[in-house]
Amino acid sequence: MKKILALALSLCLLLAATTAFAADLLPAGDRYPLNSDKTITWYSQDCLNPHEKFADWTESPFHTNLAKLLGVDIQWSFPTTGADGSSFTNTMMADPGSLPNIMKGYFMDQANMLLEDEVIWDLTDYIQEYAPAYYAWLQTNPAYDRAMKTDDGRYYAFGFFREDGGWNDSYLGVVVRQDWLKECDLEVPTTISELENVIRVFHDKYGAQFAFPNDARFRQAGIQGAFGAYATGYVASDYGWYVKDGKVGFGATQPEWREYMKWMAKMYAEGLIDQDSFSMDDTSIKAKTETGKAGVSVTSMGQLNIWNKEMGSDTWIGAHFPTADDGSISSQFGGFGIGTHTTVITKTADEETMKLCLQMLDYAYTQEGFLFWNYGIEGESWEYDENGVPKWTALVAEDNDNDPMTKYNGATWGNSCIQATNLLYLKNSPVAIAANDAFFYTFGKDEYFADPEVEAKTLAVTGGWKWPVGITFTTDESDQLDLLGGNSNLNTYVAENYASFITGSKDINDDAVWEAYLAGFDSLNLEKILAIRQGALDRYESR
Amino acid sequence: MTAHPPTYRHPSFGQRILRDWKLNKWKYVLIIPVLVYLALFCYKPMYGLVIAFKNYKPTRGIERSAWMDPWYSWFEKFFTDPYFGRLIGNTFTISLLTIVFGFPAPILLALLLNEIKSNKFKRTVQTITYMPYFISMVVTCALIRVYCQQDGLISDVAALFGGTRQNWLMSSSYYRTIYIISEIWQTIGWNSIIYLAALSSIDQEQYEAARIDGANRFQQCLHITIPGIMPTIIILFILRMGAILNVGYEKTLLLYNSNIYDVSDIISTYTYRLSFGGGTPQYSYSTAIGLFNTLVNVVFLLGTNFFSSRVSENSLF
Amino acid sequence: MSTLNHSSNKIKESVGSRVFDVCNILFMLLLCFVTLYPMWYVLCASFTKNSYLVAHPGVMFWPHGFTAGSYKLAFSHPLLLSGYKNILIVLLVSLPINIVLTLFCGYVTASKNLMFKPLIQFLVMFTMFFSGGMIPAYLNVRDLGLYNSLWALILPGAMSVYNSIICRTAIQGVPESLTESAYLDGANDIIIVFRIILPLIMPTIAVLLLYYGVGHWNAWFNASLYLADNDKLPIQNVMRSILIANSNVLNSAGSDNDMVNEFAEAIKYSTIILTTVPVLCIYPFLQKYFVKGVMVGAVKG
Repeated sequence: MKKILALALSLCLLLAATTAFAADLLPAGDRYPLNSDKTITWYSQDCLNPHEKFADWTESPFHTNLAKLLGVDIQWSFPTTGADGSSFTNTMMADPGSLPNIMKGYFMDQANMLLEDEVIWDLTDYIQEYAPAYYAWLQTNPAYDRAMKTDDGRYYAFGFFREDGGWNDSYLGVVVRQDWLKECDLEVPTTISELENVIRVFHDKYGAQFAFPNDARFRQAGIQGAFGAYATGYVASDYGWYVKDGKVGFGATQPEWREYMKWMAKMYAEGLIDQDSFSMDDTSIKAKTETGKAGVSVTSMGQLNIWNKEMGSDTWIGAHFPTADDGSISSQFGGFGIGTHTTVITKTADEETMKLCLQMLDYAYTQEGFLFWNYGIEGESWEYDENGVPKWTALVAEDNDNDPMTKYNGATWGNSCIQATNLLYLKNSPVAIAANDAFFYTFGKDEYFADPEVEAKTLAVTGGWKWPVGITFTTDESDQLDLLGGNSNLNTYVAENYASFITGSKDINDDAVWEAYLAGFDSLNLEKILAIRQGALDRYESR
Repeated sequence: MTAHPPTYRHPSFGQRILRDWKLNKWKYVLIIPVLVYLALFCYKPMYGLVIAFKNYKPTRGIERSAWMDPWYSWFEKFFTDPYFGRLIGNTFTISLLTIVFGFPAPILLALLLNEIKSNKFKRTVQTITYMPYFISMVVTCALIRVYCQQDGLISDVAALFGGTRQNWLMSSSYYRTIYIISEIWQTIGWNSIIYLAALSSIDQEQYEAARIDGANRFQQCLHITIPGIMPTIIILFILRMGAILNVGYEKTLLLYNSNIYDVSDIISTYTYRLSFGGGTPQYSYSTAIGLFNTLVNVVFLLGTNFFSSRVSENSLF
Repeated sequence: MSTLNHSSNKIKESVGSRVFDVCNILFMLLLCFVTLYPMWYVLCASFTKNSYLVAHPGVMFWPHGFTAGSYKLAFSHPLLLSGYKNILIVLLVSLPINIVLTLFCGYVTASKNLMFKPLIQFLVMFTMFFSGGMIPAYLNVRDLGLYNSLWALILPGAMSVYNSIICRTAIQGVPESLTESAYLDGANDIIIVFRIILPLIMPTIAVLLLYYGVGHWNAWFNASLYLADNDKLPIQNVMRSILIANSNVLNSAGSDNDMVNEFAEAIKYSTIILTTVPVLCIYPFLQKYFVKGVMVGAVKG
C-alpha cells in the first residue's frame, strides 16, 4: 500500500505542477539547430506516418520541418502504407546490420536482450550530457524515471508521456442516453444498483438493452470495481493483472470477480444484456446505439463523438464508473500517463552519430520542441489565442482531411514526446471531454482539485492498481513465460469461461463449478507465471 | 522388371545416363529453369525450418539463436498443451466437413452447367457464381455476423416458423453449419472453373457415339462426362487431402467469439494468437506447429495417393 | 458443340429429360440470386451514406441517399494511380514467366521414361509442403538484392507447384500418339511443348492464367514486407491503407472528422468494387475457352 501511495503521490505532484502548462517547466532548446552534415535514418513503426494525403514524407511539413529545426538531415522510413507495423518491425530486426539509426517501436519487453546483444545503445553514460532536457523531465517524476530504464538502471529509450498524467488514459467508460434519462426522470447512475435500475427502466420503456463490444471495449474497461475486484481478467495487454500491497494478482480468480460474474449472469438471464455483445466491434455496435436498441453501453470518448454526430450532440454522455452502493470502488480503467512506446538508438550509429541522435531526440522535451511536436510551427499551423493557449490557424481548422493536425505535429498519438492536454481539447468535442472527465474523476472533478485525499484515491483506482508500464522481464524469464504457455492460453481459458458464466452455460452460482474453474488454472501454470511476474515487479519497485 | 533374355547385359549406370541424356536432353533443358527457381526461392530459405528446434530471436539470427534443450521442447509443449486435443479435433472436423460438403459442390455445379443448352445463360451463370470469391473475407464475415444477430435475418426467418430469436453465432450447435454454407457460397463458382475447363476438353465424338447407342443424358453423364473429368477430380482431391490441417485463421477469427471456442478454435487461430496476442511473436513455436501440420498433411496426402493409385489409375506419383 | 448436337438430334427428348432441364434452370436462377444479391448489396452499399448503412444493416435493394463520396475519398488517395500501374507491371511480367515455368514443369513431370523423373518430382513436390517461413524468405530477398524492387513480387512466386500439377494432369490427357509422331518428324521437346501441347491444353492454360493473375492481384503481404517505397506498392496495399485509415477510429484520442464518419462503412464496399471490377472484366475473355471446348477430335484426324 505504501508503494502505491508513493506512486500515487508522485503522480499528484506532477499533476499539480503541470496542469498549468508543461512547456513553462521545460528547459529552453537554445542548442538548436545542431548544424550537422550527417544524415540520420529514422524509423517509426506507427503514430508518425506521413498523413495519408501525402505520397511520402518529403511532402509532409512535420517531417521536413523537424529536420530543418534540428539542423540535421533525416531520412525517414515507415512500414509501407497498409502494412502491419509490428510484423514490419519484427522482420526488420532480423537484419540488425542494416537497421535505421533511430527506431520507434515497442521494445520494453525485449530491452534486456537488445542491450545484451548490442543491437541498441546503452544511453546511461551519455544521457545527462546529450539529452539534458529529457533527463530533467524523467527526474520530475520517479515513476517516469523508473519506467524508462532497465532493472539495473540502464537508460535505453525515449518515451511517451501525457502532460496531465492519467486523465486521458481513462478514455473508456460507461455511456448512457441522456435524453432517455431525462424522459424517465432519472439521474446519471453512479452506483451499480443505479446502473442496473437505468438498464431495467430503459428495457421496460424502450425495449433497449445493455449492449457493448465485448472484446474491443468492455473487457478492457470492466465494471468489476463496484464489486471490489481488481482487473478485468482480460489478459491481452496486461488488463488481467493487478498489484495490491506489492503483490501481483490475477484478476479472474478473485472471489470479488465471481460476484461481478454473478451480477452479469443475472442481467443476462433477465434479457437485459444484448446477446450480440459478444461478437460486436466498434462498427456493429453503432447499429444498436443509433437505433435505440441500446441505452447503456461502454465505449471510448472518440466513439462517443461519432455516435453523437449522427444523433445530436449530447444524446450520449459519459458516466462515472459504477461504485458499490456504499460508494466504494476498487479499480477502474485507467493508467499512468506513460506510454509503452519506446524510441531507441541502434548500433548502426557509431558513437558520434549516437550522440547526435540523442540531441535530436532531446528536442521534443525542450520548450520549443514541445510546442513543435504538439502543434507544428507557430504562425503556420498554430498561434496563441487571447488566453495565451495555442490554437489552430485556419490552415488546420479549415482542413477537411482526416486528422489534419497530423500533417504538422507529431504528438497526436504516441511517440518520443510529451503530449499536451490542450491538444486533446482541441481535437475532441466538449461532450467527449466531459465524458473523459466523468470516466476519470470518479470522486468528482472539483473535489479532485480541492482535496489531495480525493486526488490520491482517484489515482489509486485508475492507475494505482495496474501492472506498471516499463516492467522488463529478463531474457530468461520471457523464454520461460513462452514455454509456460504465457498469456495466450490463459486468455483463451478466461475468455471462454467468462462467456459461459455470463450466458449461463456454466452456473457461476454453483460452488462446484467455480472450484472446477479455479482448478483449471493449474494446467495453465498460473502459479509459475505469477511467481515470474512477482520477481519482475520486485525488481521494478527497487529500481 | 521383366525377365531379360540370357544374352542381355544390364547396362552400366554411366551407359544408362548417357542413353537417357541422348533421349531426353531437351526435357532436362526444360526443367533447368524450374529447378533454378526452386533452388533460389524455395530450398535456399528452407534452412529456416531449424528454428523449430531453436529458441529463435530475430536479432540473433538463426545461427546464433540457442538450441532448445531438449531439442523437441516446442513439440512437447504443443502436445502437452491443455488445448491440444480440442484444437486438433476442431481443425479436423471443420476441414472434413468442408471436404465432404464443399468438395463435391463445384463438381455438381459444373455438371449441371454442362447440361444447360443456352450458351448465353451458361456463361452468365458462370460469371455470376464466381463473383463472391472476390468479396473480401472481412466483408463476407461482417455480412454473416449481421445476418446472425439477435434481430437479424436468420432470427426473422426462425421467428416466422415459431423459433426463438437469438444470436446464432453464440451457439456452438450452429457455428459449423454457418461456416460451411458460407464457405460453399463463396467458393463454389471459383472452384468449378477447373472442372469446366476439364469438361470442355472431353472429346465430343464420344457423346455422338453414345447417343447413337441410345444412351440418355444421365447415362452419358455417368459414362462419359464423369470419367472424362475423373483425373482432375482425383488429383484435386489428393491435393485437398494434403491440406487437411490447413484451415485458414482469417474467417474463424472474424466469426468466432469466446462463447463458442469449444467448436471453433483451431490450430491456425491458436498460432495467430501466439503471434498477435501481445508480446513478441513466438516464431520458433509457430514453426514447430507448422512442421507438425505439414507432417500430418503429408501423411494424408500419401495415404490418399496410395489408395487412389490402388483403385484407379490416377495418382500424384 | 454439344448444344449443336442436341438440337440437331431428331430423337424426341423424354419427359424426364425436360423436367430435369426445367429444374436445372430454376436451380441456376436460384443460385444466381443467392450469389448476386450480396454482390448487389456491396454495390449499393458503396453508394450509400454511412448513417443509413449503420442503422439498416439488413436487406437493401437500392442505394440510399445516393452518394459517390466513398469513391471520391478513395480516388483522392495519392497512391491510387501508381498502385494500378504497379500491379499492371507485375502482371505483365509475371504471367508469361508463370505460364512458361508451369508448362515446362508440367510437361517434364508428365513425361515417361525419364531416368531422373522421380528425383525431379520429389524436388518439386517437397517445396509444396516445406518452406523456410517468413523471415528466411525476407532475408533471401534482401540477399538477392530484390528488396524494394518489383522483382521481389515477381520472382519468389514464379511458379506454383499446385498449378504445375494441374498442368501435368492436363498434359497427361493429351494422346501420346501426337507427341510420338512429332518426334518422328524430328521435332524436339521445346517445339512440342509450344506447338502441340500448348494449343491442346488451352482451357487449362486459361484457368492457370486466371489462378496466377488473381493470385498476384490479391497478394499484399509480400509487398508490405519486401517494398520500402510507397510508390512501388500494388493496388491491394493501397486499398488496405485506405481501409485502415478510415477504420482507424479506435485510437484513444478519437477522431472528429466528417469524412471518417460519413464513409467509414461505405469505403469498405467501394474498395471492393474498385479492386474486384477489373478482375471480373477479364473473366469473360478467358471463359470462352471453357465454353467452346477444344476440338481434340479435329486435331486427331
